[in-house]
Order: sequence, then structure tokens, then C-alpha cells
Amino acid sequence: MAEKITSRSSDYSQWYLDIVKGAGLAENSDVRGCMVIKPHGYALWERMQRALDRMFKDTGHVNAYFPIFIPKSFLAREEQMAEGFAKECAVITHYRLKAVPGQGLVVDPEAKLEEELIVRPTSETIIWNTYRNWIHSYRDLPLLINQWANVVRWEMRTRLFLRTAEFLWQEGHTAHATQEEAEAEARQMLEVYRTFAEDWMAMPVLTGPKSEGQKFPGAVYTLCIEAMMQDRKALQAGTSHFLAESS
Amino acid sequence: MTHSDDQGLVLPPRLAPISVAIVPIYRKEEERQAVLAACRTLADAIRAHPVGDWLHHEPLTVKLDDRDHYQPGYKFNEWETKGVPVRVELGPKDLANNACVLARRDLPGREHKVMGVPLAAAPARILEMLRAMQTDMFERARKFRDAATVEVDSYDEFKKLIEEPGGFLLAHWDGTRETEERIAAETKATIRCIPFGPAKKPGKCIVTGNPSEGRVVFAKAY
Repeated sequence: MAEKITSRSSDYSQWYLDIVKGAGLAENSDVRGCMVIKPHGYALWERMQRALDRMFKDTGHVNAYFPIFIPKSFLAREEQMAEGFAKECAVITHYRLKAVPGQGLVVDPEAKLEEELIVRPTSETIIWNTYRNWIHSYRDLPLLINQWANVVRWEMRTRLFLRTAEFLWQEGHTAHATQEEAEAEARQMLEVYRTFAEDWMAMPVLTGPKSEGQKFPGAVYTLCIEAMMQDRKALQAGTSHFLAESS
Repeated sequence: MTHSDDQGLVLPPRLAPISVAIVPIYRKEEERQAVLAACRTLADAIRAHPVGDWLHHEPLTVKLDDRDHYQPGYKFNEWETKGVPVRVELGPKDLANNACVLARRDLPGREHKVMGVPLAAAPARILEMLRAMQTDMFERARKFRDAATVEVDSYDEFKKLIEEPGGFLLAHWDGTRETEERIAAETKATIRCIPFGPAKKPGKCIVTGNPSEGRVVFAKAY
């Protein structure tokens, strides 16, 4: 606690790390790229989650939970999305360890999965595969579902809260009868994010679509909220996508 | 990273896990008992104070820091570092006047402390402070951002400004991926968004001179 916080003007990155540490928000863990969210940091997350969750419910959404593991074939079907995330996927190849005298625990070569599983970097594929069974006609629409979850992206350069291999987030996935309705939903959720950022986080944001080069892989377009940090760099603080028709 | 300062975290009151930290000040045992009793009564009054929809009908959260093994100065520093929005100080002299001292996290320094707030009026006064702090934090961040957002009409100027002082540069772009990638490779700035807002005015791309539908937002990003 008594440790001095580096000033913003002398070293902004160190200042940020000192704040995260000094305030007891999070720390690096024994697992490379993964952080421990400490009680004060987690309490803050719970507050954010509660406020946002209520805004989702007020706009007609419900929560559900989908598997953390995605069969590799699901990802392969969505070529654009696979390309976007392939470089940072954690892959599960085995499901068992065994004790070998003199070697301790080793991966059991007999327990190789027939099809590898991907730890979700995002859940579009698994959720839309599930929706296929839920949607038989327009009468089953709209589907307005949100998931609070952890996702994994194998980042090489990590920074507490800003970029870690595993992180907490929410992802809403909605299905609509018409393009017009789907686009209105994307705009509505962008507005929910803007309201949360500005009225709860006291953080002003710009809103608008991303360029082709910056959009979410597989989206027709991506809408975003962008904030400015005190070093005048931008931070993407939320995105809402129009994915077009699902096949 | 939007609001914090060189003393530590600054949290927006609507999201702060602890809204108010009460630090009792005493030396002797009899002071301790009387001061702690007053602090407990005040803590309960703050928790019971109606907040309404501002916190989605949740009560204000209060931390009464009654740890004996730390001095008040140490406690002030700890709650400041953790970003608790409002601190209450209550000592024997305050108690004699049925009052307390209030300090806002985003306005550090003795001159901003509010002295002699009657205990009975403190919960309402604290809520008022929290609401003002929420609004002030947003306004401060908006002014900072707006001051660091500029229109740029030449690529040379763009390259200079993106290095120093940085910020959001509003510039015309021809809409092609090639130009976007070239700018990113040469300056590390990317297009953050094609902003909604006032009607777009056409112009000429700062790199190629080709027609542009309107300015887009460039910045270095996390």
C-alpha cells in the first residue's frame, strides 16, 4: 500500500500497472498471460455486470450459457471467422493424464481426441449451431440471448485487463426475422453500450461503424464505441455486429 | 485509465464497490468508543438513505474502517489508492459539534474538504456529492477528449501530430484498404471509427487526394 505510484507524466504504462497493483484490482498469475482478479477488482466487475445486465433485461434479452469448448469443425465452417482467430486459439487434443513411474504425470497418448476442441475465443459458431435447432420458422423469432462468460485468446503480449489470454465478457447473439430488425438491434445495443460507458463509467465515447479493415471477421459491418485514455490513445470499449443471414 | 490520477484509482461513483469510507479519528479509549458509536450510526444512516434509480435501487455501500492497528493517515491513503469516491472523517472535535468532514476523491487537497457537515444532513449531502462527482468526471473526460481531437488536412501534419501530442485526428480518407494499411504501417494510427453525428462533408483523402465521403477518426490504439 505504501508503495509509490509512478506519475503519469514520467511513465504512463508503469503508472497504469502501479494503479492496478496499488488498488488491489488484479495481478499476474503463475499462468503466463492470465491474471488473478482480486476482490476489489472483482467487486468492480460485479457492479458493471449488474448495471449492464439490467439494461439488457430492460431491452428484452435473457441470459443463457453455452459450452466453453467448440469442435474444430464448427470453426472451419466459418472460414472468415476462423482466419481471424486461428492464430490465437487454445486447442485441446487429449482428455486424460496418466502416472508413469519415474516421469510423474504425462499426457496419455491413448486419450487423444478424435476431433480437437477449441477453447472459445468467441461463441458465434457454437451458438448459431444451437439456434439451428431452436428456430423452425419466423414464429420462433426473435431470439434475444446474452451470455456472460470467459473466453480465451492466446495473446503473445499481454497487459492486465487490456489484453490477457483469458478474460471475462458478455456476448449477445440475437436472431431476427428481417434484416431491418437485426440492424435495429445492432444499433440498439450500441446505444446500450454508449449509455453504460457514458452514464455509468463516466467515459465519453465516439460511436460509429468500423472500416472494412477493422471490422469483426465474418460481420457485414461492425459498430463500435471508442474512448480516449489519458495518454490520448484510443481504446475500443464495445462492439455490436450485423452478421447478415446465417446459413 | 480515463479518470485515475497520480494518487491512485478514481472510480465513477455509480460503479464504485464502496461508495463511502468512514475513517474514525481518536487517541484515547473513551474517544474511541464515542467516535466509533457515532460512525456506526452514520454508516447505518447512509446505507438507509434512499438512492432511487441512480444505483438501480441498490443502497450506497459504506466501509467503516475501524482497524485499530493503522493510523488515520494510512487509511486515508489506502481508500484514496483504491478509488473510494467519498471519505468521511470523524474525530472527537467533530463529534462535539455533531458534525463530520467530507472529502471527494476526484478533488484532492485540503481546500476541497467540506468541514462541519451536520451528521443528520450527511447522508443527503454525500449522495449529492456522489452525483456531482459522477457528472464532473464525465465532463472532465469529455473536455480532455475534445481538446485532443483535431481536424487534419495534410499527411505531413498528420504524421507530426500523431506522434506528438497524439489524440483523435479527424481526416479525409479515400475509403480503400490500401490507404488505411499504408497509414497504419507508416504512423501506427488506425481508423477507430467512421463517426455517427453531424452530416458528413466530402473532401479529399490526405494520402491519395482521391474523393472522401467524410472525415474518419484516426488514432493510435490499445
